[in-house]
Amino acid sequence: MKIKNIKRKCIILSLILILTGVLISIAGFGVAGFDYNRLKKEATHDPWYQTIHINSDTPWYGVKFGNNIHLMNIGNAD
Amino acid sequence: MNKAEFLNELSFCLQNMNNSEKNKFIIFYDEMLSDYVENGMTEEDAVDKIGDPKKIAEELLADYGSVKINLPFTGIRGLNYILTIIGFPLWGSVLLAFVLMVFSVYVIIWCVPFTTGALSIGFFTTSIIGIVGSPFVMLKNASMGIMQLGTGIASIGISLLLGLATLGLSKRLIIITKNLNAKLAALFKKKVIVG
Repeated sequence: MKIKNIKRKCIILSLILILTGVLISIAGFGVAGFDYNRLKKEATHDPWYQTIHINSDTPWYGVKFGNNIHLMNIGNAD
Repeated sequence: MNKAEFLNELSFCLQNMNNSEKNKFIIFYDEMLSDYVENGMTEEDAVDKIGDPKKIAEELLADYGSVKINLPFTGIRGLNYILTIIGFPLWGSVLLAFVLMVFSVYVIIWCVPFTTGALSIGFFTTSIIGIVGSPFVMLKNASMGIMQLGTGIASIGISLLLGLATLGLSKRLIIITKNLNAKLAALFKKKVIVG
């Protein structure tokens, strides 16, 4: 019974986090005026602690530690 | 054959069975024979009607989990060992194929929780780096920094969901693996009666 409650709370918490994260991300895109080209121009600096990257017009999510050393890679990192 | 002889022979043929199980069958056939005799049959006729005790024992043992196998036997134990060794390329390859097949089944079913677990760890690590790094990104590019913070928070949620899925799947697969192990072990635990 208690474990089921914890599970339910964890699922609700994770859904809240996902929703909050998506809203903040949309807000961030709003700061760039919902203009992808502007965002792309501003994303020239690409340090290792950056998780959203725009390489050759395609965005990808993950951590880039060096040349071809990636932790998580969602999208086209080439 | 009278009733006593029938029951003695049946008892002898069921010697591979444990005593409690064997006694159950002996009592059952004893009562059945008694019923026939009460209905006016002779003991010999009643035994003929039930059948051969050896055949009955074979059927009972087959249901009990024993298997009757006609093992090839040359009559010389040493020769049997030599033939087994010579035949290794044949039965060894079949055994190896069986072992590899079982192993591949385990690998396939455990791939799913392994993948969700790896994704959970990956999302969590990326989210921590993303959230901690977002203020530094914001200093140079505000919109990118805010988006990174958002994706970082969302990633924690995704990693939590994937972690829960990994736990749930692992629990179920442990049960499935245990059942599969028990079934495989049962294949090798069967008694063999040399025919």
